[in-house]
Amino acid sequence: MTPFLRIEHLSKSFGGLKAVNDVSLDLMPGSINAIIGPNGAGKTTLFNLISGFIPSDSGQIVFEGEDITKLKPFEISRLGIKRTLQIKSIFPSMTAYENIWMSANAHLQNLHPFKRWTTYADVRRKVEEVIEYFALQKLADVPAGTLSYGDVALLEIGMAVAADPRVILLDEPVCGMSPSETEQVVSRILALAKHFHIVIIEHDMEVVFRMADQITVMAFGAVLATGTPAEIAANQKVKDVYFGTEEDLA
Amino acid sequence: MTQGVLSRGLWVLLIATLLTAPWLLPLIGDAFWLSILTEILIWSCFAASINFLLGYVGLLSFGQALYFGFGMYGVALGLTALGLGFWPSFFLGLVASALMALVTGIFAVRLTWHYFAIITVVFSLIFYFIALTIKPITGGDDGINFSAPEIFRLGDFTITFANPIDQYFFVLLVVVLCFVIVKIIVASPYGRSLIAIRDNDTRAALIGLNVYRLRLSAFVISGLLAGVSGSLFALFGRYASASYMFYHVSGEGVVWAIVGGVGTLMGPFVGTSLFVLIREIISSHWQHHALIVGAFAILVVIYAPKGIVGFWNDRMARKLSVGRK
Repeated sequence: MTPFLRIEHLSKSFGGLKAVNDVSLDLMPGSINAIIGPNGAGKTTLFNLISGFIPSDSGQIVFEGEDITKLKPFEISRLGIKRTLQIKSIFPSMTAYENIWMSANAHLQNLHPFKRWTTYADVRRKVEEVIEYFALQKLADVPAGTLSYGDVALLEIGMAVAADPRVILLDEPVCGMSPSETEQVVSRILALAKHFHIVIIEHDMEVVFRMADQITVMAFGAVLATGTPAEIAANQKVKDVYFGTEEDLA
Repeated sequence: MTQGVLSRGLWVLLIATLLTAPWLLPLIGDAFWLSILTEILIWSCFAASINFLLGYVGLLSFGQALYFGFGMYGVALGLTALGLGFWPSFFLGLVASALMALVTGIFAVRLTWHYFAIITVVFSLIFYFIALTIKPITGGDDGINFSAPEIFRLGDFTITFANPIDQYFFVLLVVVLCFVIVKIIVASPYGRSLIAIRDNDTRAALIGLNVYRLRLSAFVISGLLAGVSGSLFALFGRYASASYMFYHVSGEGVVWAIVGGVGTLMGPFVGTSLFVLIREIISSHWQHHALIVGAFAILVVIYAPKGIVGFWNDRMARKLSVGRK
């Protein structure tokens, strides 16, 4: 099986801090890949590099055979790499419906300047499909800026889905959520994984071990270990990073 | 009476007033009010150019006078130095302003917020001083004068800027066309993409929008609107002068747009009407009319931050939702 996303010797420093340090990683299709690690391990920086937010110092990112290392965020997005942000990011003045519409429409690269935006039946159908799938009907006409945190998180994922993604990068999708909200989002993500590649950064270990097929542990900007949840749970190096070594205690 | 009827009534009133103004205004006052109304229309197109950027793209430009000035000089130089007719000169004004917006926009739209505001001021200052310096071409502060051109001639029938009524209707037609185009653009997929960028440019890029190119295109459209108003103003005043490229002019446009209501279609018209009328009515009695303008602007910004039209729309929407319950 060939990986859909291949990262080779990727590095990024901020001043003297090596945020991502010579990371090589193969993400395999047909599974939920999780990236975990303590705060400051470089997980979000890795996402920022993949989605083109920041330029890498060295190394290469290859998505489905195409080198995307030097591409801009909108070009990477057009290849089907969609992401959510740790701090939820939507269009606050627009309704939930319009938010999803924007994403679905941007995917079609439709920038017609004179036709009314409501006249596109195909986009409308897509948006209604997504709204139904995420059970957002009641919120469709509510300005997104006034939605609850959990609903915004769902909306953000819905926006990614509306654009027919190849892969969705989720940055802490259940961070700050109540147990019931978490449950809702987790079940959605599990269902979505049947259709798209999912890569997830998450702090909630219970969530990660429940969802992920493949876990990558990062610490100090480097990959510490990669494996199945069972392998990671048994890995001594991972335990040391998370719980400290015996020398630390002494 | 429902709010919808009230709004529609206002529209009908406005349209009726604008269409009959040349005959209506002499009945109630001096004929010079028609030229004031013409001026209001021209300046509201200028305020619309600022509103288009600020209200729908989220970019505050303090340099729109530059494109206004290029519109003016395009027309003036076309009619004088180049010896062109009316339409080619008018067209030259529009092309000059749009091209200038494109060239400066390539640099300016890399920035946002105050950095963007500053670079737009800097560009307009640079060209203001250049225009002052190259007196042989621009006439500097004195400007270039020309006589009112003919718009159209068929046998003995002529439409000309020398006739105040012809002039008024030509300006009205062009300005209304600009407002209609803005209205259509704002409700299109392209316009919605601009609003998305205003809301959240990071997310806009993440859904695959080319934020830079969209901002640049909007900047050119906005420059073109300023150019339309500059071209019209040159034809209206029969002259072009470097003084209209000064940032003071841009600043006035910003105040008109903000007080009228940024991000609303009619805001620029309402704001401009208000301030031009204040100026015309008060300046003959009291020379410090700018004080009233300033005080008014401060009050509106504090108590109706969405401007007069925004305030009105919110009121209407609230009454409408109360009515439904």
